Amino acid sequence: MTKKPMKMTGPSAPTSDLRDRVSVSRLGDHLPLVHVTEMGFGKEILVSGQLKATRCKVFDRDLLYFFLGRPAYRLRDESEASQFISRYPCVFVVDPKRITPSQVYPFDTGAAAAGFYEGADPHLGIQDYLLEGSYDGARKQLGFAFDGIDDYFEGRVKPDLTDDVPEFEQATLSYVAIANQANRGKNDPNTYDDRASAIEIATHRHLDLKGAVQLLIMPQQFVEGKNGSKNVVLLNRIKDLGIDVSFYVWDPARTPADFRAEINAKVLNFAKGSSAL
Amino acid sequence: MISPPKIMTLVGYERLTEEPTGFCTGLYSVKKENQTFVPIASVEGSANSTVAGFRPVSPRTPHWLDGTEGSFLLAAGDPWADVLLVNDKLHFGTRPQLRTALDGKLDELYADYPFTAVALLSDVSGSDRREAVKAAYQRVSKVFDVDHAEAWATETYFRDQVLSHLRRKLIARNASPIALEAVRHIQVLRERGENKLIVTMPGSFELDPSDVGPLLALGDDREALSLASELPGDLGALSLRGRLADGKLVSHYRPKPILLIPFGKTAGRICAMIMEEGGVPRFLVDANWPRRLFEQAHSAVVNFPGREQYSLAVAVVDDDMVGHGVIEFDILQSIIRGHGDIPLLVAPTLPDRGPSRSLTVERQFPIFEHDLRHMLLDTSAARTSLYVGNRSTTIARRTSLLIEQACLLMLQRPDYVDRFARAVRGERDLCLTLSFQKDDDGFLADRFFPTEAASRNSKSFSVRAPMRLGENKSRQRLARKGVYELASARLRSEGISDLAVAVIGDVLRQRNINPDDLIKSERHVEIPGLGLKFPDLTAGIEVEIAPDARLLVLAESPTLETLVVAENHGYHAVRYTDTSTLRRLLFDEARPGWRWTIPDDIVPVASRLDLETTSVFSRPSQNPGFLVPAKDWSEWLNAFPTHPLATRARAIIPTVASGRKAGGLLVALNHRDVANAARLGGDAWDALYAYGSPLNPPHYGINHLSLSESVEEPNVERWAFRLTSPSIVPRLLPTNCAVGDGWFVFDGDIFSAAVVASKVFSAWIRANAPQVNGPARQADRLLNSFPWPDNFNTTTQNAIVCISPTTELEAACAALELPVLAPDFVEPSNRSAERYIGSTYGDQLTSAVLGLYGIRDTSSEIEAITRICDHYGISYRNRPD
Repeated sequence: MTKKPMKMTGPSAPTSDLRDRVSVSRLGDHLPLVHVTEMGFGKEILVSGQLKATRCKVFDRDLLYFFLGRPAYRLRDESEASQFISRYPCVFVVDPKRITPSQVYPFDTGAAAAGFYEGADPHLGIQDYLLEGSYDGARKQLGFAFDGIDDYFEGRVKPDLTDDVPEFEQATLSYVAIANQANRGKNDPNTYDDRASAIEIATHRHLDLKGAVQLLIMPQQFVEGKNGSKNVVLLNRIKDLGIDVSFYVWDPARTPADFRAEINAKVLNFAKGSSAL
Repeated sequence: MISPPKIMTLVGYERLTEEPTGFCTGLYSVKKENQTFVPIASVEGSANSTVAGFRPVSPRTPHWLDGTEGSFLLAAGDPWADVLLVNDKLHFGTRPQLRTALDGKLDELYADYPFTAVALLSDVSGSDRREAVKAAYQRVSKVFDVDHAEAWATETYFRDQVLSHLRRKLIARNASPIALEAVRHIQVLRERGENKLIVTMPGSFELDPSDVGPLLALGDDREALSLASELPGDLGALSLRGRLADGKLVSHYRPKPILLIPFGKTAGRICAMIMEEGGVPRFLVDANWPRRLFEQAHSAVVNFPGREQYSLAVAVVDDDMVGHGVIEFDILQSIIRGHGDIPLLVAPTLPDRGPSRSLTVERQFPIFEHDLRHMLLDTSAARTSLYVGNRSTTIARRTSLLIEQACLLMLQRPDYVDRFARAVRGERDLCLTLSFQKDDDGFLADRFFPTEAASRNSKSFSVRAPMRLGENKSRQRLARKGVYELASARLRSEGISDLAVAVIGDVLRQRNINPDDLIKSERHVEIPGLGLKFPDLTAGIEVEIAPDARLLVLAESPTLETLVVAENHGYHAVRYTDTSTLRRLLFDEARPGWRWTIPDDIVPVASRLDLETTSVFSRPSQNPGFLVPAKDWSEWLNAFPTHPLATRARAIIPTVASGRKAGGLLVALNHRDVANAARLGGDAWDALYAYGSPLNPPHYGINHLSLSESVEEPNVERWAFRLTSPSIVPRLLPTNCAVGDGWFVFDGDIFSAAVVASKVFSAWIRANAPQVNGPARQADRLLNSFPWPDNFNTTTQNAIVCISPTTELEAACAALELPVLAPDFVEPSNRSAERYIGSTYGDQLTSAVLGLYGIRDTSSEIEAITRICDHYGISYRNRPD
């Protein structure tokens, strides 16, 4: 695959057609926000009690990233940095009411800047896909592009999404081409990229875990250990923070793709079970 | 993905938690290599499977082994093995081996590390596993509560077990990649009202009913029920059900496997290449097809039951098997006759020196005379210099890819095999040929290149399809993804003008020369006495490049006699695949002086002869001994300048790889000197050992060095050279330097070096090139078969010296300035190498050397070599078959 990094602005005149279209669409399902990191960082976050906004190379400002509902992280061409997340993932499922979004995009902007979206219109830049910067803006994108939670989790974009979109609405058409890269049904096994339609919400504020994190997903091995061991200390910290926990099976014979699938299933179950959100 | 060597050493591990007990990620490497790998299981998630291969990783928090833990090896194909820490003590082995090693310690694991115990026992049913699951359940219950414990037992533990169970069943029934992907998304939920565990496969996958069978049958699956019954408390009493969330069952066309039957050695190798990843094709046409598409049978025991089990049989046939009444053919033929309903594709392998007889109409031996359904695959497309894909791969590897691709195209639709069979039915001169149409970026391969077997003139039925590279990521560089076409074509009956024009056109285009105006004429040339095995497969081509190049393009490797006869008729004979010679003929022959070049692809002149050999040339063969970085050696030398070793070190002439890896220059000491120094011991030895002990010579690409003592005779120097084309440059090797693999060394005077630098020597090497480039021992032998002029003698120490130099040779040598090797040596390009011995001077030198053989007034390499052969009674005449 030839990577074509997406710049912040494209050679064409700026466009807002995707944002305009999405703004009039219905609200999609109510979903929690998800932050994925590697287990090593996850422990540090739990000890500090905070998810911190850090310097983002793409936007050159301090940001803390989440995805709406989906624990999407790198699948294709895993680089050195993302290998750790894939091999030892740790997932924070967060109450959206505790977040004040600074910006919302319909896909993972980091993957866009790294050139992972083959179908992207080369005349557009990342900012051409900017959506309304609120939680409802993210839900409108969900309602615009997907028929429901299951479809969103499987990356199954509405089949008729572009039927009445004229050719000059470049960002909308380009978005659909990008989003279909995450469509499990349309792509070969092992080649789809979950991040291509995972709705990204970023905030510039730090987040206190207490009261905000609804679920933590981590390897089951963190529940074992002798009295006073580091694991036991970590578990006590998790309980102090009032965080609910779910586990996945970490085993050296399993693959990162397996961890992703299991984590995806757990978040989906959680999202469906907490419709009271 | 990097394709690592298949045997790895455990070099470290990465912990998941900071606990002293638990499974870790094993980190593997080739000894002393920097790149680290983790193994991949042949059945994902199953520690009960084997190692499928290794994947590179960059560990963040590795713990490197220091050797005290022991040495542990793991290879692709081995049973899966793990690194398990128990109270910080490393255990390595398969899960059964680990269980044996920890026998008696399980209670300790249950108490404090129940999840490690669950992992250790997950594939053994019985009380131990039940106990481990119970301990883990109680642990979660104690740390959190019963609800969490139940969720762990069903949604985490049981899910993982059911996933592995379903995966094993799907792999056993050769399910599609789509099904294997879908199954990893299963969810396990407890339906409280009905006291059931529901295993749901969500997703928008379109699945074939046969791939969903194991899931839907979970309620009656004894093994799955046994797993469920082991769950703690009332969970063990729950019933089990499997279901598909969205009910998306679509019956897809799914071809049956292909049976591969090798006939002959090369055929066996090619089939092994196809089967090396378990018969999973490297290309993917449809992810709904069964994952494993090829099965192999031995030709002696072919007993395939017919079409109900296989889509197609492919007989891969070596040329030398045909026409000898091979019994396996008879068996195969009788089976075909008996069943009569299984289509057969014959894929001939390609002999090194010429076309396959199975792919030529005139010489085709009727392998399966009585079977009209068999089809012939034009495998010669793998040999053309215009082959699409990685050209550095062997012909056998290319042929294996071509067979895979052709088979996948034939299986595109259920009726395609029959349609192809009908298209070539009863026509012995029709074959199937594969071509590349366009790549993913839409680049059209708009020029069709003919092959040595077929010209493109019959297209009764063809199939085109995009082929994506499949799961075999380690092999992806071998081929090119894009749209391929399989079509019928007519085998050649005579002439390869179209092929010759295409190949020459390509050579010209590479130099940005439009071939259209330059190729003046093309025709079949009748020259008696060429001694060709395929006299029909030739073309006479005239190219208008000054001076006009008249080429006799052949489908086979020429012999020296063929070259001589062609030269006598004014033609350069060259095989169509020999593009390096074509380039020389088209572009370099224009230079004045030496012409009529010996081609690179030639039947070796000396191949059939029991030549007398000398022992002049040798390869570096000494064990590298002790390596020390040059900067460390220099420090040591300053500290111990009078030590006996001080004068024994040799600077290693670096290769690109060794220089880069060592981060600088290295010096070597031979083992004997080092052993003597070790006996002396003392501070000097301790200091040296500290510098040198960690260096592993093979790591730096240094397997052998020239460390032997120099010959001490008047005027004799040590020379070293590499086999470069077209010129060979001998370099003076100072006594304090050593060369490694890839170099040849000889002791001799300046006149012997002049002979090696002359074009006579390089032409002799080229005339035997296939052997010289073969196994190293053969290269030694053929270099030593060089017939030195009578004026040269070997001394008792195997140095070569000229006893009576001619005036002409002395004059040439007086002006000869051969380079001296130094540790800062950088391998020059072939062109720069040639400049050392300039064109005009080179001709003068060559003329002087030819004079030693009594040969004057020739500017033809071919003539020079034939006259040397005549002079020494070496027969180069073609032998009748």
